[in-house]
Amino acid sequence: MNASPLVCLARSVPRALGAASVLGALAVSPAAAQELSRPGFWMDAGIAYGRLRLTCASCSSIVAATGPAYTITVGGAPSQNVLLGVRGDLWQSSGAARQKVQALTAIVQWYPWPAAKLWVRGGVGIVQGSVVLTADTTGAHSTKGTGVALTLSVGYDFRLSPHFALALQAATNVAALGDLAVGGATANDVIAYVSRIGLALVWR
Amino acid sequence: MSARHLLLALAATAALAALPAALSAQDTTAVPKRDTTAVPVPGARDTTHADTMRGGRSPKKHPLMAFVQMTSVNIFVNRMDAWVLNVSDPAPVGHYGNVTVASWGTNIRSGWVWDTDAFQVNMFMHPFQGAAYFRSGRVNGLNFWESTPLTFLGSLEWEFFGEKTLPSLNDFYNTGFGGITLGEMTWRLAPLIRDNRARGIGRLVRELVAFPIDPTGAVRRVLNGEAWRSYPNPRGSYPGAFDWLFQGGMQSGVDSGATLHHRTTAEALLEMSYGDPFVTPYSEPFDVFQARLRAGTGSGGNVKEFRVTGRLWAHELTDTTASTRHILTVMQKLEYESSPAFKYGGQSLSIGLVSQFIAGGGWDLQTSVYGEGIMLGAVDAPRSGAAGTDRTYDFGPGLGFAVNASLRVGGFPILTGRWHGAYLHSVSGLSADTYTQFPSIEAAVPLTGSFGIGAYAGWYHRRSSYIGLPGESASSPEYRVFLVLHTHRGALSGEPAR
Repeated sequence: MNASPLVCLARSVPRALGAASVLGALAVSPAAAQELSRPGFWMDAGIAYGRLRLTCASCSSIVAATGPAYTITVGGAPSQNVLLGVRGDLWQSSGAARQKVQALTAIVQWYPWPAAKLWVRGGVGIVQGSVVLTADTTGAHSTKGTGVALTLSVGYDFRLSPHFALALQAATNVAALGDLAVGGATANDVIAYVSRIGLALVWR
Repeated sequence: MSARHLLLALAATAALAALPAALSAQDTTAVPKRDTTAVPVPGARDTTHADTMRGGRSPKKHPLMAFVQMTSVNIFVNRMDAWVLNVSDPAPVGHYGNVTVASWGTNIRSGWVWDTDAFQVNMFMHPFQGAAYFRSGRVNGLNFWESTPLTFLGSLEWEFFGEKTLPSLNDFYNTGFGGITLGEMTWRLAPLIRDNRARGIGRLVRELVAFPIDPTGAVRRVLNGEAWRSYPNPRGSYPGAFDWLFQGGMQSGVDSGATLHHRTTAEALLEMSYGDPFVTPYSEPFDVFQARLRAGTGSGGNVKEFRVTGRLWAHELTDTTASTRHILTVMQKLEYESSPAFKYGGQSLSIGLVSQFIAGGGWDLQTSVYGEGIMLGAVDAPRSGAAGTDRTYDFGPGLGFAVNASLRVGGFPILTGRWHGAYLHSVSGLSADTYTQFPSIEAAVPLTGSFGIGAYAGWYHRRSSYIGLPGESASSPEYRVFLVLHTHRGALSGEPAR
């Protein structure tokens, strides 16, 4: 029913790489090896392959689906090693039963070493999810919920110019959606996990 | 994990600081270099560690050592649980400190859950463990923002690898955000208690008092010899103002249970203001914060209220010399209320306007209006919690507001009004939307410059709506009479304006 991971990658990653290459080529300069300038405004936009996994206290099975994920982040830099920002996330399944998880989170991104290109990022916010759940008694049903979002990611910046970088990033987004109605029954403490791996174009 | 066990384990974490501190005891670059040209200032304290960017050169950052120290916190707490306290949860978890590779795998495969610990453990105790993670960053030269990821990493490490119980999402929130709040607060307070010029018993008492507040720094000072060496306190880091307010008296409030009868209990309140938004120009997070602790007898635990609000960012909208001033402010807040009649707590970020209206003759009015984003809140209700467990409350994100106004004379608060409202959408427990509001008013009459008598009245109201079930509401009035002692310390002579 769902597209395979390879199909998703085939669809999404080349588009991201293409866009990044064009922008990178426009921005590239002899100083490409320099550190990104971090003070002030920054933003990134990315695309990824994402996999959804659902758990709940009363579900008969753990459901998984795959699909592309899109992110955009804007923010500022309070210190040389830290970026703050607000990020919008959207993941959609590529199968016939359309599932969607969208989140808005406040994030902190930390470069542990001053000249580092490796970073870790964490954030919290709100999330809305339309997911398909399989309850013990009533079978599979589409349902919708709003809850808390938690995002944790790790990435590496490949610098293209003093202001542009291509970031390879892996992330897990946790969406705690609470109790959801599933065909007359209730699925308790539903938590959706979207694991993502992808690329983002970073401007600073 | 019981509150007693967690408390004991946290107390023991003091010793863990010795491990990385000992490893780096000879690494003098890890200790912020002192400005030897600084002139000793009467009353000034060593707050070099409180602000790594202020009052001299920045210390060298040791992120790897910070990570090692953070991990050593977890190893130490885990081994204390397993070897010393021998604590256990109900089957099938058992001795949760006895982690194995298999338990790590189970935790990773299972993912997050919402735990069923008591309100006090989840909302009050966990932030203290997070503070140890945060200070691991600070003691190794990382600034506020650089230390924040470490707090969450520490919590993440503990949840997945430090105990056999499944990783708890609510613990991650409360340890992370609460740890930042308490970690930075204690990081800044400890150097104010210490005095590098003091000698003898006075010096010992100061070092001992600062120990539970900053165990990591205390052990480092012992290992580096700073705990007994006499040297000047660096200047330039006093927040510009420091206030204490102490209230002691009796409270009458509605008790929990079906009868809802009023019960009179003894109450004591301690409020500390570090810095003053109208005196301390914004320089970095938590350069101004306020902590409030209220304890009492009766049911619901002895800690009735614990609230820490720290300034993350501020922008002056008016002339600093004007009689009417407005400051746009972003705050981080840790909130814990556990009265006999209700429980409310959470971690939130607020944005709002702080204002001051000076009327002359020593009179002024200070107001604040905030909108809150509640990252994770907890509230109790008759239908909330998990049956058969210690959990009698639900978790959820939400929105809120806080309005405060205080009429003061000579800095002494004569009349104070507060109004806090919140909306929480439950994501663990029965699906519910809960609205709370808590207006209160407090009046005090100064009998001397700093001593007075006062009274307080507050009214907590909660309304909960459920999917498929009738809604319900509850109200809980409470009253207090008290004696009040207020001390104010303004700018120090010789201390440079900040």
